Amino acid sequence: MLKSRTFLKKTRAGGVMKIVREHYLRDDIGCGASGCAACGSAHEGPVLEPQPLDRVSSLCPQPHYLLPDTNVLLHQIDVLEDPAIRNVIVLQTVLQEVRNRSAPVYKRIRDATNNQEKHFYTFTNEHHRETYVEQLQGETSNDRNDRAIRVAAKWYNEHLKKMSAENQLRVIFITNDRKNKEKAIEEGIPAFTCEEYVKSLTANPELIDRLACLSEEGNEIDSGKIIFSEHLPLSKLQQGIKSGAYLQGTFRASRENYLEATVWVHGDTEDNKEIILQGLKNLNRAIHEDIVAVELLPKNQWVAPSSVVLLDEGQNEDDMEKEEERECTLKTAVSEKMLKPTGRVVGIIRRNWRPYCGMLSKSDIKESRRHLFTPADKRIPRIRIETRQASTLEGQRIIVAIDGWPRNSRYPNGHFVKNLGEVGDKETETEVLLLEHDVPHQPFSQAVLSLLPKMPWSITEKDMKNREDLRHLCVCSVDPPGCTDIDDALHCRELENGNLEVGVHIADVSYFIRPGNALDQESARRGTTVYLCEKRIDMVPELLSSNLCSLRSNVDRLAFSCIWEMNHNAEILKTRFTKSVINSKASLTYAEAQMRIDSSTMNDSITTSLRGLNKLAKILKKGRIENGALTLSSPEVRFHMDSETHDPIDLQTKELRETNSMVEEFMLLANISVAKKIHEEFSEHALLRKHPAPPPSNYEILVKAAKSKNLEIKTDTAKALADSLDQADSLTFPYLNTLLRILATRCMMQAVYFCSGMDTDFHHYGLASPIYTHFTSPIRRYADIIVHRLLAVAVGADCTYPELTEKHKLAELCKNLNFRHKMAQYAQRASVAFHTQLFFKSKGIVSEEAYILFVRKNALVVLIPKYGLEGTVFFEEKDKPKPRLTYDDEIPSLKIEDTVFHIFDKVKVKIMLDSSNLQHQKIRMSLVEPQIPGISVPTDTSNMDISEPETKKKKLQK
Amino acid sequence: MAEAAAVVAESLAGYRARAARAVLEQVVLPGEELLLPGQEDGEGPGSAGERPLRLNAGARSGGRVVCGPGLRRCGDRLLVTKCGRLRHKEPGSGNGGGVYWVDSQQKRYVPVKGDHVIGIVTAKSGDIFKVDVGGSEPASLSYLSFEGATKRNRPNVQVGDLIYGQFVVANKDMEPEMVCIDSCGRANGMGVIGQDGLLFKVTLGLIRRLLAPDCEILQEVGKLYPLEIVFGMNGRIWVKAKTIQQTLILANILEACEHMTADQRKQIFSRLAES
Amino acid sequence: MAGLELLSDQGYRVDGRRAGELRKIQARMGVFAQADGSAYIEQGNTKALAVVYGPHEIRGSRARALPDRALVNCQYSSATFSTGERKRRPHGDRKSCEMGLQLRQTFEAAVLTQLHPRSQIDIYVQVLQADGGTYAACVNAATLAVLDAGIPMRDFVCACSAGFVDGTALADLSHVEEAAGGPQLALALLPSSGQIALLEMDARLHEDQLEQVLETAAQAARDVHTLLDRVVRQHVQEASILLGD
Repeated sequence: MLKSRTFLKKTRAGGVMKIVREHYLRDDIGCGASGCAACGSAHEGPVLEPQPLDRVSSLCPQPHYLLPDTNVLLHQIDVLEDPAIRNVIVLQTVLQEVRNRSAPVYKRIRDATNNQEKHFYTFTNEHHRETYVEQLQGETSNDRNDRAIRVAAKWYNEHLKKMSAENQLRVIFITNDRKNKEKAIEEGIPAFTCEEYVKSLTANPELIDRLACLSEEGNEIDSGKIIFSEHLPLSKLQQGIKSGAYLQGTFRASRENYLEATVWVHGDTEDNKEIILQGLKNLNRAIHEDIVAVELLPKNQWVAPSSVVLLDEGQNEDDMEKEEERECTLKTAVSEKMLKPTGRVVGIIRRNWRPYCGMLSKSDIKESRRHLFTPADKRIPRIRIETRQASTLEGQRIIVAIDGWPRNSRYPNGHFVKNLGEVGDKETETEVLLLEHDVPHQPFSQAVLSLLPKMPWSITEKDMKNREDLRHLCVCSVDPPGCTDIDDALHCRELENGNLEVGVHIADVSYFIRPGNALDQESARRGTTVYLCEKRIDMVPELLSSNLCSLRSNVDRLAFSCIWEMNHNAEILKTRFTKSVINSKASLTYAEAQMRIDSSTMNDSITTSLRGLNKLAKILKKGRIENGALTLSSPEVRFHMDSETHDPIDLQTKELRETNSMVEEFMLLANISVAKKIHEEFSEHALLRKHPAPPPSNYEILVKAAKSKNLEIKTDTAKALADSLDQADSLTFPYLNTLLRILATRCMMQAVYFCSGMDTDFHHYGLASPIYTHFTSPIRRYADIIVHRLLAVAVGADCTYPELTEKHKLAELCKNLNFRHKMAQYAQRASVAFHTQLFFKSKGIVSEEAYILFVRKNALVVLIPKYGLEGTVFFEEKDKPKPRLTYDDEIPSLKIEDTVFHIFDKVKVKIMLDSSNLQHQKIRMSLVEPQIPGISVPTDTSNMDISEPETKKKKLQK
Repeated sequence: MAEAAAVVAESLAGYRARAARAVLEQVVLPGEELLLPGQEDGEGPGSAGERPLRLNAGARSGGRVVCGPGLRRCGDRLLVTKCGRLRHKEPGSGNGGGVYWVDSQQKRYVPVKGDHVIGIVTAKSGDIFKVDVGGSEPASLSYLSFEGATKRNRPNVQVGDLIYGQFVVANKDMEPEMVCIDSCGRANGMGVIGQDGLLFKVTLGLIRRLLAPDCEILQEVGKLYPLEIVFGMNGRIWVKAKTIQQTLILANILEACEHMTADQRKQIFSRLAES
Repeated sequence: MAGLELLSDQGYRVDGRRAGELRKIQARMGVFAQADGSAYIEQGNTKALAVVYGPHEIRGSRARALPDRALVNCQYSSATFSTGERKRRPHGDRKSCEMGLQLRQTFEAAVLTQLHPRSQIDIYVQVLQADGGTYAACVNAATLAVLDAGIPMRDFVCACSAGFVDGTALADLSHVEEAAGGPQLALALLPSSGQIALLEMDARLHEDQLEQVLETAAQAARDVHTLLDRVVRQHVQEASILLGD
């Protein structure tokens, strides 16, 4: 049956257009209940269980299905995702509305529907002949949708009755809208609010906590005074943005100061404007990462970013006067040019809330059920939640989701989602770290694991057909000790014509991960393997990463080989790429390989191969350095773990041997060769990696620092920088060169992946190469898998698929990979920081030598070479009188009382762990040498108690 | 009306080929293929599962089948090219499989040799007249093709006159030629049509029906008024009656006959006969 | 605000059809008395009218006449009121010219032009309401009109459009689905022999998917053929009844 839907739409130009669409009604849509004979011929199979008896509700004792309406779905998604809620009918009307209003909730509903265990059924009621509802004259679309939902619920009840006489299956309508509920009851549909229903599930009381608390529209004005101004509706905001009265931007809260934030305005021009917001009223309930509309304040109200650190610690929730007091402290008298554009938030365009990890700050009132939750991320305000389990949750890390922020409330309202475990516990903290950095770390789903090959697996005849058999070659791999995912193997041998043949063999992961399937999607989502201190979050399941793909010794493995013919001067004469089968003869560590090279007695084929590689590597490295490649160092530290407790025993800086450099050189060479090849073949769709050159302003600090020691650093080209860094030596101060290199690392920009068709600048500054990509680690990086696929097509070993050659999809993928890479780095650093804290906790107070890296207005940033640890020594503290501080920007130097500190000065500091704030335990450093009366701490620490914070403490932050 | 074609034996793979006999008097559409007698034996790969009906039960095989308008030969089958009803005419005498053709409704005329048509003279150029017959090209008519015309005695034909003649040459490759004399040299009703009267156009199907031997319409019309009427196979009819009004009435009736059923026709005629 | 979901998880499109289903088709032949052949077709909300004149003598320059076959001349015009916003130029613009050319290509393949050398067959198609699949509707209407005019044809020409969304091929796209920007393919088929008269696509489609989309379009074209077949038979039966058999 054909119906026609006509409606009017406003075009972008402002005109009105009439849209006429067909709307077909069908007879063959099934109700989804198994055992329903009438719907046996429907397209979709039955999904709902015939006898849903697991839910015993006091309100409705018979077996029943649930039918939620839109608002319930949007707000109570946490309740619905709970495994206790099953057999739910989701109407198409409801699903469309959810899709239009909130994409994340829509995705979660889809995941729940795809989950077989949950038995969620999507009923296409808009196209079912009996449940289609036309909009009546004068009826708003919301009313029409509500009516459609009620009609569908009614139809379901009648239909299920017809199924069989004694069947008592019913459908319960869940809605929070009072009017809708009344109308439904009038029409004979059993209806309850979500709260009533959840409370009636006597078998599952914990569901009540997961209920989101929503404030009814009416109560708002009565209880409590209104603190914040109203948010303007979206239409007014859009008008305002178009006319220029308001600006749209992303809201970024400040980590140090909860009363301050900046908004980065989305601009067409390159420079995004930054607007400062100060004061709770001006922040107007915006939360970090929301898209907001701001109005600029007149110039006489502009402020400068405050350099004060303020944390929200009050317990009394609605005490506004204290807030206003604090706000006044922010407004310090500053010079004109420090003022920045200031504004206030007038409306929220889009919320970007996510579930947050943190801890409960229990309320002082004993019987109160409302508590404040402090998130781990300092940029998020505290959240008020209602829970009965406050006593059990105290001292645990929990996850909380925000529901809303009414105008009369000092804090946003939220609800409890999950309990992660005890705070300080390694597992819990690792979990928090991974969640806060958005690192996917759940175990691989069944769908993904089902795509893995069955063991025992071996290479078949078919696989051998398109590959070169290189099992006779003397291939070996060199990796860090304890490494199980071996990506790469090398070989080198003499040819008859006197030249050398060098091969780099990379694990052929793209053979196991075919494009488009669940395994591929999951790997793309993860983007990279994350290496935490004691754990590794794999990008691909272990069967592949540590076994089938890993190039272990003495087994046949599939590989993708890059083979060069070079002369003894490391000049490349020929390059070829081929899929192959190899058999690695040895899996060596860096130390073992180095030992073999240096040994005078060993002369087997592996050792000769290694020696050849080493020689060539040295020549290659020299060539690269002549071209201007940078060799910078960072204080890499490794933890030695106690094997039983997994607590860190000792910190050690990584040693760099010749063999590290050897492997690195060939990996770089392979990456560059592959980059050239895929760019040649796919000029528009190659996935490459670039490192933009830093702007000269980034180098200012380096140049200034070197000048203070009378050394010159040239920064015009990479080569000039590399050369001047090499020459910047001081006989009296051997560590200076390392420090300068460390500083240089801080000036660099981030290297990123990009799609060759979407960008013109391919240069990799750090390696001084015109083109570069990642090819050599497909087990732990998804970008390498894509490059493998591209290369396979280029050499004719595989066929393409649509997404590979679509540059916009590739650019999207690069964006995701860059994000994951960054997050993985942050997570790794956070893991190192956490383990450092654990280490110092057990070690107590230590006193070590340090060098000053940066000089700040009220602090010094120092580096402790022994531990590779960086920290800040503060000189201002709230309980103590402020010392005289004079800061000179030019040199730079800081004069405290009478002692002057310059950059690179050697000092001695004391390190210890401050666990006063459970969520943010910090490493505290205080000055020991040079001695400044009233500031420095004494060297003698024998009678110090570890747990009690020292009296002469400086407030600091890492 | 015969487009003679010898049937060549060659087999082509096609589906839905049906036996021509089975489809007689039924609507056929372009794209369908018809099997001929003698095709059912030795059937090659192709119509598996078709009803192998014998075309002629009398086992008159091997005769030449003539394929008329609306059909084309393609291999050893007939391909339908127009939509309409399939008709068959048994051969009058001798052997041969008879004629098959598709009766289709058409308005546009295609010149066929031997057809008598009404044409309008559009140009005089030298020795020939150009006559518009409603086809794709104007036909040529030599001035000598009138009865009693000689080089000196030219016929009195002006531009705009109506001519009733027949085609002597009418195929797709050449310009059609018509003459106003028959094979013996006599006019036989052909030539310039007189003054007055009304020329109007109808569909070709109606003409064929009107010219069928057992058509009642003509007899009834004749009973109404005395009239002169000329039918051209190109869909043109020229009518002349005593008064203009009668002429118009006749023209309207004939045009309307296309869409009326027999009963309606009888009603109209009886009403006219009364008044 | 999310865009329209072209294919829901349950397999339903925006208007409730499944992936391979066609819209409602209604057609009539012989709508104009003065033309040699005419037909009107409605495919969903797309309405097209086709009118055929011929074979008649070449208009315009005699030089264009082809000695061995007829000249097929097609003109496509879409009414100013046919789309949501009023169109300025009904014909003579680039799209119309291109469509005319494509129609000509299609019909030169199907009409037996050898039977009418040095003559001209005119096919005029007018789109009254455009809701996606205009080429297909034009071809279908023109086929019926040519049949109505009695011009001999090798076979029917049936056309249908197809697209590709989310790994599934959709048949008979409506305007909403075309505007979404995915690849679209227009296919004109001679159903009995399965030969393709015209295949047109100007989007990017991976060759692995081409087969699937082509198959869907071909199946849809065959379904259209079944419908048109029925329409023609009915028309011929009515006409022959009136002729007094």
